[in-house]
Amino acid sequence: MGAAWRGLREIAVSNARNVRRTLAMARFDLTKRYSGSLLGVGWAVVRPAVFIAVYWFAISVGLRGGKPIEDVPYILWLIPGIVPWFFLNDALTIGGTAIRDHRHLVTKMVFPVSTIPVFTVIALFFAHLMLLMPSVLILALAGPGFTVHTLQLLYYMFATLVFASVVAILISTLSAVSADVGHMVRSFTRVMFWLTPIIWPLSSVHGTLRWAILANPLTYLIEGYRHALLRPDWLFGSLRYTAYFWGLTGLLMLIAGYLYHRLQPDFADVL
Amino acid sequence: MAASPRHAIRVRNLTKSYRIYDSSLGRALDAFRRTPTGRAFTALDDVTLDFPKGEVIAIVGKNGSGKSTLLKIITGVTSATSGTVEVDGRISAMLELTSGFDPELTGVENVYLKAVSMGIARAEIDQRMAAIIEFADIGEHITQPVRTYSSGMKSRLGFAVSVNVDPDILIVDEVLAVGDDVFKLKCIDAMEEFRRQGKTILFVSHSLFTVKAFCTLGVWIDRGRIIEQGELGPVVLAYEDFLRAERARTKRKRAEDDDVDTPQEKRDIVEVSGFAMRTAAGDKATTFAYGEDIVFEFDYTVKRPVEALTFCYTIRNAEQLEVYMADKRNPANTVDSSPGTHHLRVRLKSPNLLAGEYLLSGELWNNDAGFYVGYSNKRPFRIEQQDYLGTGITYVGHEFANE
Repeated sequence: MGAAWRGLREIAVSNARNVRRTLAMARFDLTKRYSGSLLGVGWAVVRPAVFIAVYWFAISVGLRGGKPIEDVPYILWLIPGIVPWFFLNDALTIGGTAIRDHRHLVTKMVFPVSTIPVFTVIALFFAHLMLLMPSVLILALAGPGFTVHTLQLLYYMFATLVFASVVAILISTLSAVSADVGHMVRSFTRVMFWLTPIIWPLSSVHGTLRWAILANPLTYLIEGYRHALLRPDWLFGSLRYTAYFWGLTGLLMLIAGYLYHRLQPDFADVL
Repeated sequence: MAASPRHAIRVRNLTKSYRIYDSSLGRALDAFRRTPTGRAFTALDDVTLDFPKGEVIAIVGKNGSGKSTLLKIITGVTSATSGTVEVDGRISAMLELTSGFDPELTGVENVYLKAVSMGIARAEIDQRMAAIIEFADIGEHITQPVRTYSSGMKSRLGFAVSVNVDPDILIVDEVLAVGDDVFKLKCIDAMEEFRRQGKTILFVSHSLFTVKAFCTLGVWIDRGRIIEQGELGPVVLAYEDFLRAERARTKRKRAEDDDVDTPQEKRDIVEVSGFAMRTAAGDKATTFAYGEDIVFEFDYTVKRPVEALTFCYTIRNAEQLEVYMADKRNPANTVDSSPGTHHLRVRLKSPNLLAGEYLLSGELWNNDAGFYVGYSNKRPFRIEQQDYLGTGITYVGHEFANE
């Protein structure tokens, strides 16, 4: 427990001290990812849009025969669920190998290592915002429109960013010392895409299975986005579910702190 | 922690050990175990060192001797297992000049990227940008993506950033290996300028030539321990000697199989015994001072009449490179070849051999018959030296005048 706290404090202190550097690095990370292509940052919108179109075609046209879902066309229902998924997927896979991918910062420079997954996630979050803005616009024009409840979106965005940063620190710490972890996480996220209510509604599952699906913190975030954008209602689920989500995030933070404390001294030697 | 005013860096009892795992997953799993499973490997073993300010300090040693580990700990890239490092001033480390460059970004963007990752404010870089671009001297390319650069251009840019961030301590690790001679000179000039400003430079290079030209102090590390430290000359001399002996050992191993004893037929004609090396005073010795006379002697028994035996000797350095071989046919070296036992004593007069290990070989020759008997086969002896006279094999004296 002591090691977990110490590690968490190390992470918190070095992130707090280097906010400017983190933001500058996030900017470079973003330009790096999209520079050299004609569309540039436009790809942050175009690539997911293609996926959305394909899922819409296969599921709405192919499987559901164009039936609406929760009183809205399937495409409008799909967008608020899959847009946060794109971000979470990248945060797990790209953020999850951030330290290994930026090894020169670890082995050749004096760099606050725990900010590496954070600036990577922030860069991905900028891309997420670029996709989210047109999505919100589409929903506002073609969907139920803005209500005061839409403001909840800001809370869910914040929760998603925090969760993604914590998980990215945890996984990238492990993947820094073992390349296997990166592969494991990539396979795992593929599975999570189908096990999370992204392209299918939560109302399809009942009983114990529903509890199991709800235990997945990704369900909280994705249903949260959908809730904020589609349903004129406050807080998805219940306060207890929200407490569960933050409790779990806190636990992951402690695990990340513990692992970081144990493994960080090895980083420069193994990368 | 600040070092004392005279020292830029003080290293005390520094030890670094790694754990080695058969699989990388084992290392990750070890985080959950109470007792680690990996094998320990010691890269640095109780190293204590002072780096005085305003000096250029060469760190020499073979690959894997612990040089890079030491630099990484000094720069703070990695942490020591035990011991302390005190640093006084801003360090700019050039562990690898081109690392940290992104191939897709342009030269200018990469200067910002590198500086930001070093923790330098954007405003400070804006101020220095002109100087950096001028130093790198890669013209139009500065606005092109770095992936289009040659490796020389990349190192120019990297070097330009590193020297222009105004460090107090500059760490240069094996970076002058790339780039053309003009740029190398420019780098050396830049470092010379640093030195004049009283800044400290740690310099690692495999090129002893550059080290000799440029450094003032030396540290020789082998297997994680300091072997020699101090004034550059003696350190480099000792290190070069070590390298020669090392190379000779591998060579000798290969040659060992070919080495044959004096065949019986030869011993039936002339037999040699009691070889010894002595100082001029007559004491047995294998170590001599620089410039001291070296005496060697032996008995030989002529069993069958031979005509005109001459003696010959060869001095090689530890690497088996021939330093001097006496003329085998020189009639002046003719010795007594009448049947019976004779004693021969040879005095090498104040040889100018520099400190190091050497080998003495010698034979008695009958040139008409092409017959010889060896009396010494690569016997090692050492020369030691108080005053540093330069490096190499032999001292070449000189006098000079401005005219």
